Amino acid sequence: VIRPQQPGASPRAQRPFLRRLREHPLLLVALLLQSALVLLPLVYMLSTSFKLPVEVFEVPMRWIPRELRIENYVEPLQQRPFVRWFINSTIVAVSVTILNLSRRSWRATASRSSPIRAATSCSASSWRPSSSRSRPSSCRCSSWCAISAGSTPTRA
Amino acid sequence: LALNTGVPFRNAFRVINFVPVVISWAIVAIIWKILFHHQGLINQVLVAFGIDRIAWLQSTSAAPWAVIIPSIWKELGFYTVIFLAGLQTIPRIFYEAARIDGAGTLQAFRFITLPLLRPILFFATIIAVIEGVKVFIPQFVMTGGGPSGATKVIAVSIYETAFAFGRMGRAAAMSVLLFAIVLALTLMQNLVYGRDRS
Repeated sequence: VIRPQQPGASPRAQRPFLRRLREHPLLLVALLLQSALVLLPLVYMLSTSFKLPVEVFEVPMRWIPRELRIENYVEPLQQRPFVRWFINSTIVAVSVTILNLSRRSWRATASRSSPIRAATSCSASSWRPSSSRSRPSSCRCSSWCAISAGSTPTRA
Repeated sequence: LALNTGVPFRNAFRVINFVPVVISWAIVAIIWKILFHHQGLINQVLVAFGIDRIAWLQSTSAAPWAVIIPSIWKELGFYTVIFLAGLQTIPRIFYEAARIDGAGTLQAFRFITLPLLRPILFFATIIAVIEGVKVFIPQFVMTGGGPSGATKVIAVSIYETAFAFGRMGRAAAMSVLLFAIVLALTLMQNLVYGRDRS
């Protein structure tokens, strides 16, 4: 029986830093460049957030504004109902999270009593590689899980 | 794949890749609208390399790219996490056995990684296609569907029909059609995937 490897248990991950650096120099450079590209718009947003409107499209662009305009942060907090908006967002986020999680836990509970429900509740795990697919703990009927996942039934 | 190796700062790279996913689409669209401005950072970089400025948001040929690039930037981290989850479920023993049998990196990728990642590929493709078909915010915020309808997608068209022209019935019918298109695409992918697996 082949058991899936535990996440983070890779022996490669435990090697000394310098050795890993020597093993993957090009990969490191490529990932650094890619990360810089990913972070660039975010740094640009941060830089723009401290600028005057006339400075935003200045040529050549300045990453660090001449004068840090803190008012861009203070004005929305003082002049707009920012706290109210934040509370609204929090209400939506908390409600969605609680309702989603309660629905999931209901499906997990329901799966113990019905094979059809079991098949539905196990479908979320069906996108794991078939070689390492194991029976989810909430699923008591392996054949229904296997049908849901689109593979042959596994033997427990 | 690179993020699943023992490369230094691996976790930092994973976090950086995921950061755009947690940013609201509205904010992403505004950031990229400023970046694609005629005097924005991207055109300044082009000029620095001796290339003429591009009217990213006004040209019918460039505008689609101006909304595609932010979509890739934002969604890449999500699919990275999905693929990483898939890669980490592939037992290392398969690769060790392949190495003993004399398989190279490419062969291991072709005959171990790719087949075992097939369900992940299927899931990611379905989600990407659905997200792509129902995309709305970047087009609405960055170009408003223009220029000359070059970036007008179904969702923007539905919104305009309902709230700009007040044709609620037609907009509802278009929404049903959009649902049917998404369903058909998903079923087609399911058929292709099922046939490949059998």
